[in-house]
Amino acid sequence: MDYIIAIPLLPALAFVVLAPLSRAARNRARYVAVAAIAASLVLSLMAFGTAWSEIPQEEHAAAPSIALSETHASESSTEPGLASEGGDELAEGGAVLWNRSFAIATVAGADIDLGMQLDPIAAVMLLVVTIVGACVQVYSLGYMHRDERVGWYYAVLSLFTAAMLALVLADNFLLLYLSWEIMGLCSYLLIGFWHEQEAPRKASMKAFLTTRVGDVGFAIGLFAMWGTVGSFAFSDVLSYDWAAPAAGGAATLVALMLLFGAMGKSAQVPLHVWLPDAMAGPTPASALIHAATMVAAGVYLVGRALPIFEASGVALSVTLFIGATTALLGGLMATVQHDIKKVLAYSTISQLGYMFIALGAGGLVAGFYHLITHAFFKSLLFLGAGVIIHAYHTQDMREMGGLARYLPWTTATFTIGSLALAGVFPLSGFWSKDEILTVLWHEGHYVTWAIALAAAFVTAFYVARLWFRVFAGPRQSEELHEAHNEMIAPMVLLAGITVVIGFFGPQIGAFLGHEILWPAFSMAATSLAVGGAGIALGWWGYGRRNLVVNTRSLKQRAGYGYDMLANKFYFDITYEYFIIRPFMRLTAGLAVFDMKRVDGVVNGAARVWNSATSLGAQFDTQVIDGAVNGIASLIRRAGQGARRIQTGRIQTYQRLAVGALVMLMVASVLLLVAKGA
Amino acid sequence: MGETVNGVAFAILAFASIGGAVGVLASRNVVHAGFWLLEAMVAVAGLYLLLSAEFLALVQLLVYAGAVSVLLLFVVMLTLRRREDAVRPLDWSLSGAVLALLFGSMIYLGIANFDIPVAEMPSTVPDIAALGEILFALDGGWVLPFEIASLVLLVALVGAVWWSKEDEK
Amino acid sequence: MMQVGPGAFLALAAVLFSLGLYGAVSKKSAVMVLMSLEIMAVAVNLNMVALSRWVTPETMTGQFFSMFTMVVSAAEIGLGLALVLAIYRRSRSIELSTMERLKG
Repeated sequence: MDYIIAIPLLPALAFVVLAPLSRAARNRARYVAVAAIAASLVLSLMAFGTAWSEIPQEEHAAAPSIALSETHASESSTEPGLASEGGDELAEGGAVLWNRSFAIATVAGADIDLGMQLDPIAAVMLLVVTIVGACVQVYSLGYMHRDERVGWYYAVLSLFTAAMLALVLADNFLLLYLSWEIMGLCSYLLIGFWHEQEAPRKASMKAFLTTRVGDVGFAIGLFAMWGTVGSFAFSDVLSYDWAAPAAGGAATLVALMLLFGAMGKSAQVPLHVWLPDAMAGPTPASALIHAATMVAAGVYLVGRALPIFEASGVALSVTLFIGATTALLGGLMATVQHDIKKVLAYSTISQLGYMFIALGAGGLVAGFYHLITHAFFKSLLFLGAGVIIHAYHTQDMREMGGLARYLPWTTATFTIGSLALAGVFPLSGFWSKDEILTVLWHEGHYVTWAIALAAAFVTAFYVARLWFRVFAGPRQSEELHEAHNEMIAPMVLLAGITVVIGFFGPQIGAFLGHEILWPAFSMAATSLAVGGAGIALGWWGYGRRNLVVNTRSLKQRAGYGYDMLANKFYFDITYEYFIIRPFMRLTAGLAVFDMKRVDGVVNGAARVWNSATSLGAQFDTQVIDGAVNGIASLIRRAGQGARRIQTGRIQTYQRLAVGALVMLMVASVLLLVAKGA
Repeated sequence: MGETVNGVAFAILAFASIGGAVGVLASRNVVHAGFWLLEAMVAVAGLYLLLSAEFLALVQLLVYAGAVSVLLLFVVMLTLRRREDAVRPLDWSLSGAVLALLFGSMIYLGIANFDIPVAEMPSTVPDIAALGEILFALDGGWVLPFEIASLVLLVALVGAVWWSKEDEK
Repeated sequence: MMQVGPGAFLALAAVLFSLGLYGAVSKKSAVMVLMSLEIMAVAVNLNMVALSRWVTPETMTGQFFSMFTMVVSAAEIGLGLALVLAIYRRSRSIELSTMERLKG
């Protein structure tokens, strides 16, 4: 099965081929990227088929328990045999069907391997990434065809796909981290793709810095992991006895740090602020990166490391808390956005919160199930939003309306995606959301269950608001035209998957190693009722035929609550007041101090840093949080120390270099003399 | 210690080369400094002869004494518009002197404590022909570095032309 | 008749190198600095030729090395002087104190 190596390699090769070309040649050669992802898709299908046939599914289907991997002491006492068995299997990520690793370095006597493995989770993720990736690339042929840098877009998209595929195939946390960082880079490049404009430029910086805050946590977690286990391989790390007294508090530290990294990548409160701004990038890229794959990488990471979280316990509760907060806040913030992509962005944040809830309750398979369904329907929604934006040449929903009669294909597919997001039977979102609710109920997280249900209600509401605003009502533009065929086809494919995938829940559950039951009738009825109520409220607010949508009346009625939502729960403002502004004052004060002290010559480094920070502040706000602040001032202080020797005179540098050399010589000669004597 | 060379000749040439170097550093006039450099280069070429490296002595004369010194004088001519510009105050630097002294004394200490593994000189001293044979020997020769060196020179030539041409504005 | 061995040559090379080093860090004219660099290069060559004479007389490794060093230093002086000319055209001066754009 060594052809699996080629799955991430082919898009990477496409990048290598495209990157060095001239702009014109690259634009013509963009089909290389499409061909590469198509080949990867075929190989992924083969890999998935092999995995599907090799995993004995009846064994799991026979297990009498609901899909849970809880191994808490209190739980395991009830079903000791099953729980520990389930825990072990999860520790291995299910049965590993194929594994290859390559030693790349030896550090302090320990080999560092980069390896890939195929297990059921990886097989499913492969399929998700390649299907969505292929859809997005085909769609982009139509969406981006007028862009003069389309070749570069395809190159970065290929690199991103390669990194994501490497991430899901990784058999160790190191390769996972490397791919993770490459994805961050690609995300930065794609958000800032139209860097002639200011908003994408600043948004890319904000995204990069905010996720970087999380990545620092991830890196610390890796250090702690290496210090505790001495290995990065999943097989070593996850089978390590984290609960043992010898591990001390390591499990909690590692798990929380990994969670912090995942929060940055998956845009969880309070590191969610970058995702809405990231919508300044090309819409298909948003569909791939900021809806289906990269943001799900955080969920994937937590899912992979779940045994560590379970050993910690505390980390699991924190995950649950973060997920619940994010699911609700993200949904609420989506209800007041006017930018169609930002609604979807906040919706993504909220749905990712859902996945964290599932993981926090120990429901690994439920979380992954939602990840899969969400990847399909949310990328479908983004692709549809792209068509809508092309039709109306704006992203503001207040200037839209009446699309239903003019864009039949888009309307049909977008409606399917919306209903799936709202959790309407029998579309995919309904099944996975119910699975999560079931897990929460079964685990006794009743408060979280209520919050999740509230989030489902809010979700249904903003979906209805979006739909009625865009598709119903009078049309607002004369020239509305349906998209090209290459844009329609991927959407139809994704819509088809969204419709049918829910019916394969039990099979997918069995394949991933835990049972997914058909939702209990009471649970399904509850969530359907809640979703229906949300949609009804959305219709009442935005869909009634005789209604002139008037945001002001809503503002007046809702008052304080609306203000709070419109200000995005004051996150950006808080960051601005408590981090950016004091930081700016600090830098400004230090700059004045410097000017008085040092010859009145403003140093280049400080100027670059100042302008970078003022860019970030002018923009929306916060870019950074406390950690970055600390790092920044550390760098600044180090820079102030260093600038004193940066006189710009070549001979000063020469003196320093020679001085260092002479010191070395003194040391070595003294050694020599001492030895000789 | 195997063979030795004539001490008197060495003393004279060493004095000449050090004198030339000191002359470069102590000249107020840049043109004079250039001539002192020329003198030091010629003296070092003589030292090469003492070491039975005739070819290198020749190259030293051609490259350093010939080309480099002339080039330096040309640049001085091009950049100093008036005669008085060539005369400039002596630049002294205490930190530079300390550095150089420390550096020199460390090297001296190193040499003094280091036994040089001396091999016997063959009865017939290898001449320029032998040098050429070794240089272009097919196995263990220096053909590749030689070619690379020619490439380096070419690149330097192009770079020098590029930099020194007038700005086309 | 007084005879000298490799040590004398190495010591001479050390003296020359130190003189060149002093010039390179103390002189304020770019041309003077380049001259000092040449003195350093010559000192290095002398070192290698002397070692070649006593350590590897038959293969003459040191001589080849200094040959290549000469190539590099010839390239260096050519480029260096071209740079001096370019800088002179820009700022009408070859004083190193005028070249402080790297000041941080």
